[in-house]
Amino acid sequence: MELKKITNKKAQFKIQQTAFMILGTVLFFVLVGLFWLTLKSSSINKSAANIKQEEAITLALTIADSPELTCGTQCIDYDKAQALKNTRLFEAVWPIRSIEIRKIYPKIGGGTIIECNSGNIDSCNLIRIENKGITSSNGGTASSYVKICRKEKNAEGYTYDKCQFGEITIKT
Amino acid sequence: MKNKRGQDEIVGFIIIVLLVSVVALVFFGITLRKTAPIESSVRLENFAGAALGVTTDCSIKKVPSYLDLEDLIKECRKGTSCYDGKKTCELLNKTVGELLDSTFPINGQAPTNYYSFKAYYQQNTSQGSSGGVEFYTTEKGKCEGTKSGNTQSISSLPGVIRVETQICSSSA
Repeated sequence: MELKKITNKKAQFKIQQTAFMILGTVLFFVLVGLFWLTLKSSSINKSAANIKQEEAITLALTIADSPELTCGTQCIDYDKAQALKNTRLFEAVWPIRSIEIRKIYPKIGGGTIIECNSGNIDSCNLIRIENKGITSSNGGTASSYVKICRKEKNAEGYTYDKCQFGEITIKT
Repeated sequence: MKNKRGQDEIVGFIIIVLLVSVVALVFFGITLRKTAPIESSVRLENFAGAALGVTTDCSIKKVPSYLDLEDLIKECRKGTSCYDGKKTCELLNKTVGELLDSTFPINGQAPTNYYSFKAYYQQNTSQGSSGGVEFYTTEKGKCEGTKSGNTQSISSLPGVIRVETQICSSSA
């Protein structure tokens, strides 16, 4: 009777030990899985942000590369942009609220926004083309870095292409 | 006697659990300590694409044919001077510094806290391309947060110039 009691107790202890072992192993793998999932989800989030950014750049570049504005790859013709501003042609072409072309380098105006017109080519830093036909906004913006080029004469009278660095922002 | 055996088993079990925990901690520690990989950035690719076409103040010939940034990098590798006597590498340093300062300002308010711009030359041989020789580098700030980068290739026969731009942002 006594022997049976001792054997029973030993069996119970063994079962308890196995149960703890299984629990520990499961807990360990759950933790590893959670760790892996966190890493994976953060990399998925980064990929999603990259794709979103790529889409925004593509949208902005689609406008920048259109014949009405472009002077090559990732290149905006300053004179075309100024002409487009005055003709209001783009209102019929693109259903967007506005196009903003901002000069970044060389830095002009020290942070102050100076809108470009025919008389201040060298001292302005923003070309804003607004579609007056669209008054409502869905708040969407897309932007891309571009070079802003125009023909310029140097002191000796030679004409050359001068490209500045800037950013085009499309607001819808 | 039986009690002692039970105690021994418990001690063994605890030792195993401790060993596994230590190994797991060491493994996670090493994994997390590894330097974060540089993320490929669509935005930086877009930046470099436009920036390399920016017109600089350097002309090699008397008749002004101002070099763009891409050509200025090539001339800097050759160690030449502009027509007005300025060293191409000095002008490259000034242009790149101003361009990066305007685009990715490091002022504590903007998310960017570090940038670097490196150019190195890789010679193409019949056995493939050799390791690059760095000839220009500039950097500013202290990298904290996510590091992202992009490498552009400029053909410069018989090799290729790789232009590497990196930035660190506190918010990904």
